[in-house]
This record gives sequence, C-alpha cells and structure tokens, in this order.
Amino acid sequence: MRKLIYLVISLFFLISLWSLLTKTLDLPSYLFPSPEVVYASFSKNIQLLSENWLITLVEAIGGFTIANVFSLTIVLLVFRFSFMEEIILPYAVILETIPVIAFAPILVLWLGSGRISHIIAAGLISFFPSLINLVRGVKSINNEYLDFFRLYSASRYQIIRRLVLPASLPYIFSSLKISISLAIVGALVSEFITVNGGLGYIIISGYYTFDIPLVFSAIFLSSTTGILFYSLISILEDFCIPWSMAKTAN
Amino acid sequence: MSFVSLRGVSKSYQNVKVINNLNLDINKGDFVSIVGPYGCGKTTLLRLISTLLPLDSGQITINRKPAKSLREKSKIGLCFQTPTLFPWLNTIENIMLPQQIVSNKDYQRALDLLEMVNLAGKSNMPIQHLSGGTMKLVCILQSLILDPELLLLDEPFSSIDEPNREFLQDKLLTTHDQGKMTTILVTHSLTEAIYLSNKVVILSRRPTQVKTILDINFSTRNTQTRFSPKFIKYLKLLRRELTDA
Repeated sequence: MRKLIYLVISLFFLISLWSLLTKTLDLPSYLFPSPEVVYASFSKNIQLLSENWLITLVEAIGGFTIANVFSLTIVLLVFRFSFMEEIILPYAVILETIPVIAFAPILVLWLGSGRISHIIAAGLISFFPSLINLVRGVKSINNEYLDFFRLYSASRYQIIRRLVLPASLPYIFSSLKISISLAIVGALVSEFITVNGGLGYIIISGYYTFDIPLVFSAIFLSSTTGILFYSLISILEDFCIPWSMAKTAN
Repeated sequence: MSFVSLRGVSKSYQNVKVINNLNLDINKGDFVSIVGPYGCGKTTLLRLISTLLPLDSGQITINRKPAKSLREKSKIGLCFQTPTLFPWLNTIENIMLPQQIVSNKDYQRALDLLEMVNLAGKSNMPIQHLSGGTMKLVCILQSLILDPELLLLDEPFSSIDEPNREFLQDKLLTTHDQGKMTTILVTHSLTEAIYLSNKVVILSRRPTQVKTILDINFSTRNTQTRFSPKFIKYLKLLRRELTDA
C-alpha cells in the first residue's frame, strides 16, 4: 500500500513538473506536448489507439508465449541430456549479444509483412534473456537436493516435477517479467518496419505527420501495457511461490 | 558376518587422495559413530556408503550384496549435512517426500514420527517457519520415514541446542533399537559419539584410513551416563586418539 502511495505521489509530481516545463519554456506541442495536450489527443484517438493496441498486444503475447515455451523446453532438455548444454548454450550466449532488432527487417523479408513476422520478432527478442535466466534457475539447484532424489532412485520425471520445476519457479517468473517487456519492444520495432498496424505503426505515422501528442499517447499506452503485465506476473508470482524465494532469486 | 563391509575403499578428488585403502566392518544393529580431523573425508565416506559417490577402487557391500542394491530398494536413509527440505512443501509433506518418490504414501507413519518428537502440531507449518534445529530434526524424520535398514547421519545435531539435542539423541536411540536399524553417524562431537554409539571409528588425517575403533559399552544410557567415570574415561581415550590422528 505504501509503495502505491509513493508511486501515485511521484507520478503526480512528475506530471506536474512536465506540465510546468512545457508552459514555462513555451514548448510547441509538435516538439514536446504538455500532459494536457497528450491527454486530449489520447481521448480524441481512443478508438484508433485501442484498435492498434490490440494488434500489438496479440503480437507481443504471441511472441512472449513462443519464447517462454521454447526456452522452458530447451532448459528441460538440457537438464535431461546434459550434453545439450554444451551444444545449445554457447549459441544462446552469442545470439544474445546480437541486437535482434537488427533482424527485424530480415524477418519481414523472409516471413512477409504480416503478423507472423511481428510475433517472431517479439519472440526472438525475449527468447534469449528468458533462456539464460531459466538455465540459471536449473543450475542453481543445490546438489544435495539432487542427491536426495537420487538416494531414493527417483526417475527423471519425478526429479523434474518435484524438484526442478518448483525450484525454478522464481527464475521462471523472473524470466516472464523480463520477456513480457521485451516482447512488447520486439512487436513495436517490427511494426515500425512494416507499417501495417499496431502501436509501432501509430508512433511512426504520428512522427511523419508531426502528430507528436499521438506519438506520446501510443508510447504511454505501450509502456502502461508493459507495466500492467509485469504487475500481473508479479501478483501471480506471489500466489504461486508463497515461500518468496523470488526475492532472493531476483 | 558384518552387515556393512568396506574393503580397500579409495577416493580422490582432482588427484588429491582423500580416502586410501580403507577397510571397515559394521555389524547389523550397530550404532557406529565416525569421528576424525576436519576434512578427513567423513562426509565422503558416508556418501560412498550410500553409493551417491562412485568409488575409485575397492568394494562396499551391505548384507553381502553391492551397496547399490539396498539403495535401490530405498532401504538406506540419509540425513544430509545441509537440510534437504523443500520450501514449496510443508513439514509433513517434506517428511513424506521419500514415500511419494517410491509411491508408498503413509500419512499416519509421518504423523507418528512427528508425534514422537512432539512436533505433530507443526505438521502443516511452512518449512521456512521452523527454527534451524527443528529443520534438522525434520530431516532426521525424513530419513526415517521408509524404515531404513541402514541409517546414515551427517552431523544431524550440529545446530540444535543442548537440551533438545539430548532429547533427540534419546529418541534416536529408541528408534534405532526399535527399528533394528544399523546406524552410522558422522559427528565432530565426541560426547555425542560416546553417548550414542556402541562403536566409535576414529579416522586418520588424509589420505584417510581407519586409525582405531573404540568399543563403547554402557548397560543403560540416560542423563547420568554423560557424567559417569566410564564416560569420562572414554572421552579421554577418544581425545588422545584424535590428537594423535
């Protein structure tokens, strides 16, 4: 509750400062619109924004789901066949250093300008951080825990179900939180290129038409979406891991 | 005929020989304590007996069969040095975990064990709400849940306060006698070793071998035992052997 109060107060302070700055410096709204102008633009374009928000949302969630399902599958495979770690992980580390955003135009070239290329871009950008985090989770399992299961001749399935998955939950949630924000970024970036819908399209078209209040509205909507999903995952995390290992893991 | 037999057991870690050609015989029903200098390989020895660590050379048999066969029957209980308790399970679920792994759920048995140590009221408590000592105790109960034939304990009383430790030691002795188990305890506490065991194995420094085996003989064990002249005599003897180790 205290956190929320601090957040509201700081937000109020920032918006007031923003409003004060634009008025005192007399900045034109096509360069730096005041919060009142952004709000007016948001209200005026609510239909347009919500339609495109839905597009970005579907793409981001699609990419986010693909990234996390893939990374979890790979991590379980790595746990099951330890040799796979040596095959897959070096590539994962190398690929993580490559800016996936740079791949977005190539993806459009390969997969066309439809939603699929946006979803893949969103998935790609969130895949590697998710994978690295999950691998860290599996590797963090205490060896004595594994020995305990081995002592009773537990099967691989039992070890995964009763040890690996619950022990990795804090890392899974941590990875979900990172990847949801990245998936939204991935979707937006690919929309910049194809310009056929989504908040990325609104941002680019607003930029070309000097409708900066609309650009700000789209940015506000996309960041609010990220914050909302991050918060939802945090709530789910508290519910799923009441032993609050998440705090330690994060 | 010995129940647990170690013949020419050797183990190295990264070319450092920890255990060298160790021979030891433990009879069925024995309560054996293993003591020795720091880092001499007591925990390693326990892990070798449990077959969680592979041998470099030598042989370990339990009841004239390779030790692995008893482990595969889930008849070896091991209380690890670090508590193997899982925060996503409550107290009783942690105790029952070995049962769940071998598909042999017996809630009543877990409850009986908790009642034995006056912890039945904490059966549904999240494990992280327990004190360090109680966690150790839950670990001991966890290792007892499948009625092991061989119980291996790695410093199980190390973080338990004195009165509770004595209470638990008495409970452990009762369980050991009732269950007709063979128990091997690794400990740094000489008084604990003397009070609980009928044999104390003193290990040498690395590369470790059995230095001496001291037979302990008390007709009864109670609070007074710890202050008896015989107990003090054993203690002096053990101290001398350990100093020379």
